[in-house]
Amino acid sequence: MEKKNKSNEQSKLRAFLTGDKFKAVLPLIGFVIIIVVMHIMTNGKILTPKKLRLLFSQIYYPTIVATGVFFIMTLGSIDFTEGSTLGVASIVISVLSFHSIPLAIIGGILTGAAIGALNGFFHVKFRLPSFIVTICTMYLFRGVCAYFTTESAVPASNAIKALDQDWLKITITLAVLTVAFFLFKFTRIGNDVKAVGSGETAARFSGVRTARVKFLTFVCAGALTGLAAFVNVIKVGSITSTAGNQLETQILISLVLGGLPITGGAKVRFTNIIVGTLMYAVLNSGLSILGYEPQVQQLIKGVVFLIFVALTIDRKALKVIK
Amino acid sequence: MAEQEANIVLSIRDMCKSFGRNRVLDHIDLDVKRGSIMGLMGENGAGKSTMMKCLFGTYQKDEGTIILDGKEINFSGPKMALENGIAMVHQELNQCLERNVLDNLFLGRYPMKRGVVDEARMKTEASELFRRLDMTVNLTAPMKTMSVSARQMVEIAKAVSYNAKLIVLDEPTSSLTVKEVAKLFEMMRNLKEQGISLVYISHKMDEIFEICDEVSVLRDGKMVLTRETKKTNMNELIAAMVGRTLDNRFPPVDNHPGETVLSVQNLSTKFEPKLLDISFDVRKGEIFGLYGLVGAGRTELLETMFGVRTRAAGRVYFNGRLINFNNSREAMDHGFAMITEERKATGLFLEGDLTFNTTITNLSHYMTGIALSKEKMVKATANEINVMHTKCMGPTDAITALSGGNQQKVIFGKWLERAPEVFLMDEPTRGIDVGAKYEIYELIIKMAKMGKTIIVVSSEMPEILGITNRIGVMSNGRLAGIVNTKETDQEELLRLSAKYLWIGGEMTWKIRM
Repeated sequence: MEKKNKSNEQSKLRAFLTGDKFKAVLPLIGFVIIIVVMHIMTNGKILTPKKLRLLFSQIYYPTIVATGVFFIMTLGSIDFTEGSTLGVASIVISVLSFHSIPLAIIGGILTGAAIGALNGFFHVKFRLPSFIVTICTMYLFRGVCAYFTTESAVPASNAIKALDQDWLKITITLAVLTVAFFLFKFTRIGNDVKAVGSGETAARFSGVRTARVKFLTFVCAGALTGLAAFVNVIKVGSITSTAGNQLETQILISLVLGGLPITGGAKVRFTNIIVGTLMYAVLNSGLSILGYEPQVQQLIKGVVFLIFVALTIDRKALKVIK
Repeated sequence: MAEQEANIVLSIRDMCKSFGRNRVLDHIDLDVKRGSIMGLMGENGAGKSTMMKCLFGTYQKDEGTIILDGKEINFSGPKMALENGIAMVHQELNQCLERNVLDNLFLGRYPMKRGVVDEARMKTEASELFRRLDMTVNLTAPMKTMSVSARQMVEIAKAVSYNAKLIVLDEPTSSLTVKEVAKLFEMMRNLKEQGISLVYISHKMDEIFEICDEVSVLRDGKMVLTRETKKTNMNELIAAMVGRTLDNRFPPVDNHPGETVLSVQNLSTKFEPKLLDISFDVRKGEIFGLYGLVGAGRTELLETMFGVRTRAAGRVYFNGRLINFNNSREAMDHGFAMITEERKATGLFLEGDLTFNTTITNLSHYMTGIALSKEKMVKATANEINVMHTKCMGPTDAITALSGGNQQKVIFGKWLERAPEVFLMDEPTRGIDVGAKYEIYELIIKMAKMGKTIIVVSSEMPEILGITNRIGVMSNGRLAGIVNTKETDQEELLRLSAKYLWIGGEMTWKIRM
């Protein structure tokens, strides 16, 4: 009898560990663990006001980019172009910043939207998996970025650099999150995106214009990356060929750390974005404070990434990503 | 007594299985005799597949014993079951379609000779096996070039090659033609003579009576009846399955069609499978059936009318206005609704809950200001659950937690939210149980009485004859004729459905009596 109870408990525990509820709180547990570990390892250095400010300064533009990617992954698709889009859009913003700042912002957003439109066009019209399309365009726009920055870095105007204020970056980031949350949770747009992620054919038969939804999601995600490029430019001031380098991996790691299954789909949660980017930032600055070489940092992040992908992945949805 | 025991291959005693508070199997007993065929019936959700999963070790049973050939067994998975002489042929076959018959047969146990695969031995053994089973199969043909029935036969042959004492067949005839079913039954009788026992899961009464020696019925996780097929009849089985007698399988069709509202003229489509020059009229409040063999173009016709398939020529008029829809949104805006054939693939949002699945077609109606109101959505869902008598805990249930019949009710509810004028239904009762079927028939007739126009595709002859006013019969992409349901019979429908069969190359036969 005792043995039976024990096995019953064990099976309950197993059901809990593989259940949705556990997957929902896992990122929070991970977040706490990472903070505690980093706090101990750095002897409390990570939680000083100065370090915290530095930490937050790292998350503004990744959060904006991650919000767009979040919608793409809800579709069940994936995007690898964020880094090169950010690079190209940053160049456009820097060049335009000598004429007018509003023009620069609009130019950046339009550049991002255009790249998103290109991705969406090939993904929807030619029915190429987004995985393939965005790997191709990532390569392409990384090339564009390199072309304009090989001779020398592209400088931005002093006027735009003067905008590097915390309140502005916080406002932009919070505004993006608020609008996105509203769209995701309370509008037809959010439901349409979730419907495509959950069953594309069923969505088509239920009156969702799936091609349009997918295309527009890519355009909007691109536009958000363009906006993020503005936040990036005011911070860095001049654009080199490494602008936005490996941003796509960073975003992917962040979202997965936040509990978003790498296969995407309608089971995503909005909190994935916030928890994820915060966790990544803590991990990142913790590793720097500990004095690891960048190569070692990358190695450690890779291991953490792999573990989290394995823990959070939705095995039922294990098909090729759209 | 001992002799009788020796005659029993598989004996399940007091098997129980619960998921959470939900008891799915409740003290199940089952005996399968050597060299006999046991039919297993039950509505969807009655516990058939759970029972099989417990037997094969996919799930661990909570209580009870399973005795195979006098030894108590407890498998940890299908592979272990297979090695111990129990095999299962699933409804959906798991085979490597790119590989040939030999590869599939020996997958996981290739005979080796000096470190390389012994192809010659594979060939001899396979030929011997198929000769024993009286089958002709091209051993080197890739699986994907073979018909479903041939692939099924290979799967059964594979089970036999593992020296199976018991083979479970899960709805093997659901995608077979009449001829193929006959062939399958011949093979089953052959296996029976060789002393192999079979468990045959099916919804089809006629097949159960034709092939099974005994039949068992599961209802709500309890084994309610086990009897020799000779000593029972269809009514008794249905009564056992639904827990009440069902004198009429169909409610009375007492609607009164009015004026013509929908007119399809010379409709043809652009892509394969093509429709050719289809014209017919449907009246207000009419239930118009579409019958035909599989591949005759019935689904394609509905999809074209609903705007999700490309038209090449022709017109569709509704209320005297030309309505050639280009997408489902346009169709829906004109009061059209469509229930698709493949529930899982094209009807449901499997990751969503009941609320998501119910409200997705009608989101603009649940707004408060510019935001969607969760409250209104949940209320609408609760209302549809009520109207459709959907068995569930509430609007926040995951759709996957429901049985097939209840999932179909949710899909009906989703469209009822839009109060459609024209309701296109593609096999609305496929794969759902007798009780839920009856409720859906009632709903269809009720809607017709309210003046809705209904076009229903069905492959089941009794169903199409039981719930329609008129029937259009399709044959090879054309409309072969329209008949009044009251004045027609099965022979006429069959004759019409074969009318254009020889025009376009290969044909597919599939008739369900």
